[in-house]
Amino acid sequence: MIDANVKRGSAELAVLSLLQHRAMHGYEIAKQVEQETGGVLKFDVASLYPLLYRMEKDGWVSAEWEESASGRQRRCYHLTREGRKQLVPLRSQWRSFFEALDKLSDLSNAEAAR
Amino acid sequence: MSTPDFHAGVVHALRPRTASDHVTCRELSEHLLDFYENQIVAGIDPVAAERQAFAQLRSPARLRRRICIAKGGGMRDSFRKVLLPGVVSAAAVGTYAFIFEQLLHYRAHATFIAPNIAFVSYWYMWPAFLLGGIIGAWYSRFNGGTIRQRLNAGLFLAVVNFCAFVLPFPIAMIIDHRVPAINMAQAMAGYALSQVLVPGIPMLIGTLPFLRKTSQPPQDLAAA
Repeated sequence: MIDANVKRGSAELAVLSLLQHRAMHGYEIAKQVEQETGGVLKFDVASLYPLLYRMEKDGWVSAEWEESASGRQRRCYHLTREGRKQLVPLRSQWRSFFEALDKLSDLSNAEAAR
Repeated sequence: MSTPDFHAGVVHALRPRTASDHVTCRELSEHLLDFYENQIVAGIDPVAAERQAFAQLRSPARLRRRICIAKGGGMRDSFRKVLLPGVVSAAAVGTYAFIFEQLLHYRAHATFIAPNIAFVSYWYMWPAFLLGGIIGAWYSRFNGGTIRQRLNAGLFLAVVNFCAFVLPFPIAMIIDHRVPAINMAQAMAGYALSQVLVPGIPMLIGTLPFLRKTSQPPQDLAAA
């Protein structure tokens, strides 16, 4: 089980990464995140939309009502230029974070083997 | 079996007040409907699917608060976009007033601001009010304030003066009938003129250039 704080921090990266390929509506984002991460990361309404609205306010994503194939209107989120700019440092921060954790776990494995 | 009315459920839970809140309700109800339809396709019982869909809202009051904060509403936002710029602008006007009071009416050992400093209809205060309006509105715009928030921040001191000097009179008239109403009204008009109108007009003029719509978020303008 992953701690809520870690999940919150990674949520921005997850959403921005998905939106860089194509525009998606909220439910689609939630479903894709769950599928792509094998259920490790899950979004529900209460966790996804405050995040999307904050990102929209910060200008990282923009949203427009679009008609889907079924004829239903959905609010689709697009990655903005500002959002694309944010992706680069976010990725490198998380990479550094995981590399640091990897090193720590290697260290503790080596000590345990001694 | 008919599809549950998720929109009504979300509206009931989130109690929308603004047009933006209604858009949110519509979006959230579309999400719940998508979720519900997928659960049905997956073979879940409709009643259970509906329950699971509404369970996504968790605590509606908490969700409402979180969405409000995420969209830039709530106390923290008002503090950043109205109160802080307004206080900075009032402090700038106060500093200017203090300096000029000391220069024009300097008395040895004067360690306090004379009460008449509050009577701000002196000519030398007009540039300060103009500057106060500029500082408040500019700072609010810098923090991403809307046009209304910029106006409120620019006129902050005039609003504070209104609350401090004018508003007590009608309240006093209601509570205490001993002072003749005509005296109260005269005093109120005097204070309204000297404390609200005199500072308010130059402040409004200083605020006006910052009330235009910006094509991109102010933070982006600042970063550019």
